[in-house]
Amino acid sequence: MATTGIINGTLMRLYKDSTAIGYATSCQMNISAAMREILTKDSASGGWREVKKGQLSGTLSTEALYAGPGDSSTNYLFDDLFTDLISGTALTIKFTTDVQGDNVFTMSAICTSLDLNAGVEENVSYSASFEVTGAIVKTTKA
Amino acid sequence: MKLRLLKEWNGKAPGKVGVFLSEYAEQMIKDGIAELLDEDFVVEQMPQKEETKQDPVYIPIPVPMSYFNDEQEEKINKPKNK
Repeated sequence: MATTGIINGTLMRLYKDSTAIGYATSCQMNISAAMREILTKDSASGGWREVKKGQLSGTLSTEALYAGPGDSSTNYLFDDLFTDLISGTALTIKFTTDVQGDNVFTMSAICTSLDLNAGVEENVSYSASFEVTGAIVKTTKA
Repeated sequence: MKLRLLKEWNGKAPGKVGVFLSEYAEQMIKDGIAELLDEDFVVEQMPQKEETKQDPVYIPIPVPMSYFNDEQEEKINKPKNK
């Protein structure tokens, strides 16, 4: 059954294929439409800018705690993303709660940046950014 | 779903634990690649950061001596509650 009311952000996470991106503390998906200007001398807008929809694009980003090769997890971790960034592999990413009836956003995305942060007496953490290539498809989990 | 690997999978050794989308996880269990640990599990346990409470910072503000005199007078003149 679909989640009722406002969804707890903890439950919604990024999956590479079907494996969760591990130790994530936050995940973001950004979808935007570029605007193309259509103002001409013939426009009747009185000099006001006029636009129509142009290219659609999407980005993903996540912040996560870092665990190295010694971690006992099968989740998708920094080391995996590092390999993907170097190779430029397009990853199949799903953004979902994995609850029946809830939305599943599926897309192909390339990892474009990794920032690894190590502060004194702090958890080592990293942030990863992805550029979506192609369409973002919204389906409902059966 | 939270699973534990029974066989090597994607270069990950048996015994490792991870979170998978339910459909895929069910297939992994069927194929004998992994065993189910928690059906409803979504988020792994993350190391908790210790909360630190900062001590209040008192900043001395220079005031004229008359300020303290006035304060004292007020206390003296304050009527006592009966």
